[in-house]
Amino acid sequence: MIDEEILAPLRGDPPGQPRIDVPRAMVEGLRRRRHRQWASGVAVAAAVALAATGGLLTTRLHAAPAPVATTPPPTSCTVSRLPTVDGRWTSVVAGDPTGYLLGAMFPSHTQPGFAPVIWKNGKIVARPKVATGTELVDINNQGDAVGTLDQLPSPLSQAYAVHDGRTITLPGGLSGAKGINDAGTIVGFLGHGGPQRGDQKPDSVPVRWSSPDAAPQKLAVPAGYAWGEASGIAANGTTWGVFGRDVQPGDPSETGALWLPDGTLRLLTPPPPMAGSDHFFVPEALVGNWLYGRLSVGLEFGTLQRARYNIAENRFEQLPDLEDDPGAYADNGWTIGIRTLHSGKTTTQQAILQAGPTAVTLPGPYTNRVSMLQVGAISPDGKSVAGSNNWLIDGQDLPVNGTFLWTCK
Amino acid sequence: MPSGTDSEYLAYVNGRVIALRRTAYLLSGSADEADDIVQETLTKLYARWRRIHHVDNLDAYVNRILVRVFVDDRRRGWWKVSLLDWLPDRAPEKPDAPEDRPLLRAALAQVPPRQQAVLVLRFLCDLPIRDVAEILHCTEGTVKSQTTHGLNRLRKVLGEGEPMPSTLGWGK
Repeated sequence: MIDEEILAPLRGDPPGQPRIDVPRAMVEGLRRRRHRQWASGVAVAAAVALAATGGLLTTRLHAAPAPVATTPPPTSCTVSRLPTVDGRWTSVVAGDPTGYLLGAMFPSHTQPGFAPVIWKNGKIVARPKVATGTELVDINNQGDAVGTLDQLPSPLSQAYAVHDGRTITLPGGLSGAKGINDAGTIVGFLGHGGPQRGDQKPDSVPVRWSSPDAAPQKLAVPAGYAWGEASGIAANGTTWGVFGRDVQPGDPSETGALWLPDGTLRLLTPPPPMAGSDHFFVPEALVGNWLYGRLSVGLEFGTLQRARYNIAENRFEQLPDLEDDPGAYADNGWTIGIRTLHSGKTTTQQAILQAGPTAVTLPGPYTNRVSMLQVGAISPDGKSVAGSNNWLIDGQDLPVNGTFLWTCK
Repeated sequence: MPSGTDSEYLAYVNGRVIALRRTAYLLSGSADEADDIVQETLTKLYARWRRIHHVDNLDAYVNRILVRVFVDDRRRGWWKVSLLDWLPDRAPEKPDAPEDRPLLRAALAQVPPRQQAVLVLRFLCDLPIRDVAEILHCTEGTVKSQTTHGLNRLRKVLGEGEPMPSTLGWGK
């Protein structure tokens, strides 16, 4: 058989009418612009330490998913609504262990961009004034928040911090802010940022600001990488992020990175994978010695597989997949996500608290259709979760819409 | 080149959704899955729509997203599929009759996802090698080698005899 014709019997157009909902794609796409989205893939190799001593570290791979927590899962949960501005849909972007929640209010005809909202103890405590196009992404225990203005059509990227009620332009010119710790140290990048921005050739250096008024300090960078970003910082100064080389066709070009409090840089390269060789680890959150993140095939296209890296033991573990999880973790390793249930032609989405191996369904209200349900923050004990739901049917709000706080015991 | 407005997104998408759905269907073999792939592709596209000013070949870019959605979805479960789970007791002689279509589709599913994509783009979407290379963001040599490997795998699964050597002298 001629090779070119071997698949010929499979030619043809798909039957039936398409079920593609373009407006929903726009709403969900807009929501994803609000939240950090990392691509995931699978590549596990040895972590490389780039300290002054040099040398390679060997790593052990635990390819089988491991239990992530021993705390008994909750047995019951209740749901309450968080207040919003004029009842407008506000998603939950991030939270801090003391109870601050950072939200993003959906645009309206009078408000062209997402507007930040900050809650504390169930009440709106701040509505920071930011330029249209600014997206705040992290908040600390002072209620200080950070984020970036992407202004089009010019390729402007500017890091901002909200502190003491003021919106402050971070020094350094072209920049982005991605994380803040309780000491007020901010991390991000100088330059245009990584390839997930999509509009510029990636070029950036990872930096820290010790305060919103301080000059940026460049973090250690490995040779051969064209860009890097710092994306998170813990209370002790441990910082994580991603580096990338100039993109070569077919060449895995990104790698996760970790800066220890003493300044040592580690490139996080997972051991040989179960499938594929173009994967790398994207860190998202630090809990104890575990750096949680995802295995990715490329920052441009989205996550695939959750994983975590033990800083002290220099080893990786794969974790069970979750749908639409925000990369937020409690101190006991519990995390949150969404579950989609299909029953015939009916689709329902539910918020999930992943308490170790147990998936706890958080109570509704839910609809029997795919909606904009999202979860964005979890408390340190894993017993409080914040998220939102929004769906417009023929322009009408549904009763299920709102911003929610789930409390479990 | 797009300038990033919603109206331009809608104009672009509405003019291409049928073609995208066809490509997704040829990749997945399922109309329902094709709809899901296109839905996710359009969502990812909109998430980036404001920022794709530099893209010269938007169609290739969007097809790359689509293929990536397909490959990522397949990778989640591909390696779990055991060859022995589906093999019939005897391999078919020639999968060119309509009733053998499911068998051919099942055989294609045994090919690694990225190689599946290469085979579909080349032999069902009839794209030249250079276009496939641009979509997959790899070299033309990689497309050719992935084609060889994919066809060898497919022929092995179908029980069609000796695999082809990895010479790359053929192709468009």
